[in-house]
Amino acid sequence: MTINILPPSLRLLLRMQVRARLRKVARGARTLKGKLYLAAMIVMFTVWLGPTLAATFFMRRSDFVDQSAPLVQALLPSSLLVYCIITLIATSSESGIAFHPAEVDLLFPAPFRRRDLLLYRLTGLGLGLLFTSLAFSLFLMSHVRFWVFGFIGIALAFVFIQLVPIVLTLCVSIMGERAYTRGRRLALFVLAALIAVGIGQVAVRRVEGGIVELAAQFRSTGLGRCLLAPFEVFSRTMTAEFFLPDFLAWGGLALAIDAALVGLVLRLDANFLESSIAASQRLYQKIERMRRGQMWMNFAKAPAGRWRIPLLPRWSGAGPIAWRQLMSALRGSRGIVYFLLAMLAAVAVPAYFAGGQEPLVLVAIGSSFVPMISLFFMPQLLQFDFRSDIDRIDVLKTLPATPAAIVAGELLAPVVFATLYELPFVIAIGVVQPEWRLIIGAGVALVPAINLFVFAFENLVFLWFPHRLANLGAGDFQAFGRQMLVMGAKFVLVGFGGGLAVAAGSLAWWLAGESWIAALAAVWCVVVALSLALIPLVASAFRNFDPSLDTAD
Amino acid sequence: MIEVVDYHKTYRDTVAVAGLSFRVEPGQILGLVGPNGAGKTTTMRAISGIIPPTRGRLSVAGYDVAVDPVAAKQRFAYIPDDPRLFDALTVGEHLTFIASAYQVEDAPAKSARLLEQFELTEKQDALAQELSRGMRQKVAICCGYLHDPVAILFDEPLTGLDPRGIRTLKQSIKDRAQAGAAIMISSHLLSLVEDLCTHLLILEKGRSRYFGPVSEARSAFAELSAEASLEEIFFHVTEGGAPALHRQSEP
Repeated sequence: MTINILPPSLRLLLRMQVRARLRKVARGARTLKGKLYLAAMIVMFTVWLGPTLAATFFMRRSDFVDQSAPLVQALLPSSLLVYCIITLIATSSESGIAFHPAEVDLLFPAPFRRRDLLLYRLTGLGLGLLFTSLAFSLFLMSHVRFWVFGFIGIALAFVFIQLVPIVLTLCVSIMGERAYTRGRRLALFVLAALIAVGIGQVAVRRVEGGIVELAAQFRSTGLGRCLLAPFEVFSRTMTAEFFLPDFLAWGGLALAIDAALVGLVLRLDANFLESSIAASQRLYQKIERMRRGQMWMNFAKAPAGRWRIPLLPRWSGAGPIAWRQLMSALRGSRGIVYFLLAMLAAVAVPAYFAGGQEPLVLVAIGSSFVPMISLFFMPQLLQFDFRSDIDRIDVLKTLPATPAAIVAGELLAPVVFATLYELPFVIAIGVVQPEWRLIIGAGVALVPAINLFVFAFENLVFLWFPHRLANLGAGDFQAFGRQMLVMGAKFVLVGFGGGLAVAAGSLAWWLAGESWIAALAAVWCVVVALSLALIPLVASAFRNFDPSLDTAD
Repeated sequence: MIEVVDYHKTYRDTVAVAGLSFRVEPGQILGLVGPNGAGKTTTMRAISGIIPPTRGRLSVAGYDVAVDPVAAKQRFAYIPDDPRLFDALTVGEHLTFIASAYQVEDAPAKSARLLEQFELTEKQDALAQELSRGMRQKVAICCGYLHDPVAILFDEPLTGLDPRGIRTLKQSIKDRAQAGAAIMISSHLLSLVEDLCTHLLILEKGRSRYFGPVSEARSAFAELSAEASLEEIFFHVTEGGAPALHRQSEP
């Protein structure tokens, strides 16, 4: 085991870091807010895992596993392949083995061999993966014969997926960055072409039966067998029926694959320190951007040029604030476009294979996609508001403008951009389904109002319970708990607002002699009124915000 | 002793450092100065074994940093500008880790002395993330001093320190040099260099423009008056087109 050949001081550091993480949870739970977040996290876990655990303990396990076995065996290898490809793509051409900035400053000049540092990094990675694997294995519990096989299998699979980019990164140091970049592009291109050919072969067969049948068909092609071979090993380890020979054979093979990769990593013995410094700096910059709520910038290499928009009128002080945020949104938009396209592909491709050739199915999927991105993804992607100004709140407070004007200025950019991103989807649905013209028209009118409501609420919660995203990681229970609480509150408020709007629409429809136009107008008026009612609340939260207390983290 | 011979560092088409050679003997304090992008931090990081040289030999206490990095690193300390610590570890835990990494004997007593010297005793149980910029700097200095290195590399050491911290650090640098440590200080604060350093290395665009004792820097340039300040020397060398000078025999 790597941990036994690590120098004692690095083992000590790992132990202290684990203890520090636990201490952080304990310290966080001392405050009322921390207790609340922790409780929310426990409730969320119970809700998430409760049905799975109940099914495992109270149902006849063998029946349950027999039912889900074909599904798991068909989907698991392909899912692992997709995850591996995403990890590889996310590993940019210059990236190295990223260390924490403190590790760069304290470990790199310390008397350790490069191999010691690599082992330390791999062990840290392994410890993190244990936590992730535990969570996944609990979720898989009712789909595999033995939980422990599932846990070991998923842990070995995650280790494999993390080791592949590390091996590639070490190759950078050996063969040189330029050659690596060309080689990596070529490898990714060949991989993408092979997958496209495989999917093409399946598509030609006109598969029916949805995504499971598609995955099964892909596995049956020669290319599919070849690409999925290593993932098949991990999948079979997880779903092994017996200890002997299934688990021992497949698990042993999976372990051998990982051990071979670890051996290769150590044997390459490349001088990775310099590339690691660069990678660590990039990681630090990403974390810093996340701290400022600019997570979307991490999806693109650089801001999209130096595009400018004309300075807005003053509007009692709201104009300059809105202009600044609009400029940030404009220059950071490339990452968001990539993300939305990836989201669209993730929804559209399975939808197509699930029988989405029918226009009505596509429209139905599109109709559910727009509210989903509007309510949940856009508020996270478009943080051009108070959330990105967490370190500048004191500056905002010194501006000669009323809190309401500052709030209006902060909210304009995300509302405008979210609307610009969502409208094409709404219009596209109208093109595919012309008879829905009235509903589409209402959608176009409602999108800005709903966005104002969503972003005003996000900012209200943020100013009441400020936080930074940077500390979100495995084991940050309070941070996860907070996310859950905000999500729950959002559900309640959206449900309340939606119910009110529907009630008003129904009343208008009845009063106006079953007029749909009257109903939609009433819905629009309620949504706008609710959104505008939130602005004084956000202004009040901003007025009461104390940067000396609320931004410390 | 720190020894750098014909050190080159290039990044693709950019030459960061070209043919740099100098030596810092035990007891000497070398001030490394130069405009932004001159190659100061690159040189410090190369001596620390963090980045490999494109060409040349860098050694500490006789150990080549590239050939025998562990032995070299055991003997020096590098204190970077804006040192970053492990946010979730306490000040005491940082010192515990460093003591273990460098196999420091009598670590608790040494740690206690250093914490007291830098007024950190009360902060021993504080998390790094709770510390101010200056306190983090002091923790990094304590970590650097803990194993009594024979060579110490400081990159902008005064940033964030309060007046008492500055006085303590300056005194500790003098004490350690007197005890036989070779010290390098990279800084833009020429007054600090003038105040502390026995030797001076002026870098510009990766090349040495002056290397030698501070006391001889004035006399080295005949165009300057005998009372010329270090600031005048610096601008004369970097902007006045003065020829490169090496006042100490090359190793």
